[in-house]
Amino acid sequence: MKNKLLFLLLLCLFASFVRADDTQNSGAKVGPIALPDISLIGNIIGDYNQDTNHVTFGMDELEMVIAGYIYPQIKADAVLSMHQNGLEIEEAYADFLSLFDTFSLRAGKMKVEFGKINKLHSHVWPYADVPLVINNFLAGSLSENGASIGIVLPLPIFVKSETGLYNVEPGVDGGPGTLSLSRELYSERLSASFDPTDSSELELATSGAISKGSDYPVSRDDVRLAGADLTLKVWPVNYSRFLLQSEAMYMKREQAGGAFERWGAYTYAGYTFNKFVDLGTRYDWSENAIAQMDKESKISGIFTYRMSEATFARFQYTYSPEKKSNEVLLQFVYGLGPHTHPLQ
Amino acid sequence: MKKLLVLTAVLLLPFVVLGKSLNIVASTTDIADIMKAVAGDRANVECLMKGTQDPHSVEPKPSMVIKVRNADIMAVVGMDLDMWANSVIEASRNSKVSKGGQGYLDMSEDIPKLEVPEGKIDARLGDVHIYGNPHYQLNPENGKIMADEALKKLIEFSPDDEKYFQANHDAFVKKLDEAIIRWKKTMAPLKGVKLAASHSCLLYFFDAFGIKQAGYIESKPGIPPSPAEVMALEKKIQDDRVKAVLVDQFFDMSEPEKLSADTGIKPVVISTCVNGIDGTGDYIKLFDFDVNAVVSAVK
Repeated sequence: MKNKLLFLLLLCLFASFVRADDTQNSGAKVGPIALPDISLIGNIIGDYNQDTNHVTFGMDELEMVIAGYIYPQIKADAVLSMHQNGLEIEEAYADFLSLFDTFSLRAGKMKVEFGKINKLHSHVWPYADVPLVINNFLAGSLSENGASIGIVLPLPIFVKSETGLYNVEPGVDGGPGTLSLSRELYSERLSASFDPTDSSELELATSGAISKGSDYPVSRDDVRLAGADLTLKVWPVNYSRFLLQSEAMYMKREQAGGAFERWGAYTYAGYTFNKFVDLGTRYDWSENAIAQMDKESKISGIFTYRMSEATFARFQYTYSPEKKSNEVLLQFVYGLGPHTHPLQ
Repeated sequence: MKKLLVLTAVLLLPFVVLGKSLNIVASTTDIADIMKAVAGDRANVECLMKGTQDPHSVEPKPSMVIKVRNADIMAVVGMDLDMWANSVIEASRNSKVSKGGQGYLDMSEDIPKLEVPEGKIDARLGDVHIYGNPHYQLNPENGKIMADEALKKLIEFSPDDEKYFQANHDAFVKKLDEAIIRWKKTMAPLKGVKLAASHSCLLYFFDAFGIKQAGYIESKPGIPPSPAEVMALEKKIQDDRVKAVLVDQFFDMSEPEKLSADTGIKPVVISTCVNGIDGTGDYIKLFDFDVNAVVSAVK
């Protein structure tokens, strides 16, 4: 499997070299060439954690994205991720953008539409690490095989419903105390966005999911997740933006040994001063996802310097009151090649 | 039952009324203004961005998706300037206005393009547009080509209104032609004069009025200048006795002000979009404002 992936990766690299060569020969007229968009996103992270007394530095993840239209109104995307655990197909799906002119269908392996940031790739988050609640309840990221149907409701404001059915790949784990799912996963996300003023946007959303725990055959572990999120963006002047993002999640696990409930949330507030500089802070609070109750909170300060849309350097300082420990993260993200994101 | 019928009729009324005219969405204010001029009252024209926003870096919003969802025609600048509009079109699921659809209108199709890069292009050159400099709306001659594009697309959608659209088009072009004569006369003393600019978005404006470009503050598009680049520009300004630096309305004024303090050059803020600055409410007023600002500063 690994060899096949490596082969695919090399093939794509080759294709991108062919494209680069064409660029050299024919000037700017690369548009008509029927190759997909190929891009690389590198995420280099340096981390000093006082609690574990551990320093790491290096390539945290290298993401290769191949995307393009395969038919009018049908797109295919593949995201290959290389990280310390090896090669992984993070996403690979076909998008039927306009099914019966009303619905959209996505089929394949994809980020599950649950919550605000789970569906986004981490390099577009305004911070360098995974919020506690996302790590504890969603194992850092829920990306599964399945299908989801989306519909934008015919209303004067943007209201979108997304319903998904997935088959959870066992073994995805966010570390001790986190939730690990298995078998089927049903999810639903309903979001509404509107502009309170000409220079602002507010999104309110709710999400729900039903699945089983990874040791279901032993513990008969039924898992229910619910979430609510809010995103407020205000653009006071050109290039400046205030962002407030908050997400709360609730989890209920019913096991053979009894049922228990858990909560978690984070809030991020940040200001983009100009084309280059962002300053933000995030407060995290989350209970763990297992029967032995534990909870943790964190407060972070984040400074980002953007060189371009896809390339930036970031400094993040985090303090954990329960552990009385400090963590410093240095992040450098670079983008190479054409790369687009859906609306965020 | 009667009440139900009346209620249904009232609810459906807006759709019936809307159904009578075309829904046009433009990515930029310049395109919206030209589409309005040609379409007249036979279309509802909406714009996705404001004139005060930099068209390179507009953040797509879900409210834009609602506008595009109901569009018959989606008019874009093209040449990879308003790529953000593509994600809005995609999210709208409106296949009619997506690239290749009948309602997709790329205004740049017939524009004589400037600064089309040759050879290998990469990030060392800055944020270069691979299809050439996309700020073509700043040459008023190109405004006529944009009006032609608008006319062709409108006739395609509503052939019964051809005469009406043609009359609107001709009136707009006549008004623009008269204005071009006026602007060229006003700008005539500046022909061959060297002026600096904030960045290359003013290239088409320089080209339209025969102004020579003495250098850009942002020598590589989208990249802040290094101290060495600033010094080189300052030397050029002094050597060539450049009188003014034209600054687009989005540009951070700290660099032009520093340049002014070091060399005595005048920073002149001009608008690159309709409604970018007060007094630039339509395509003709945009050039009225810019031409007056430049001439007053260089006098």
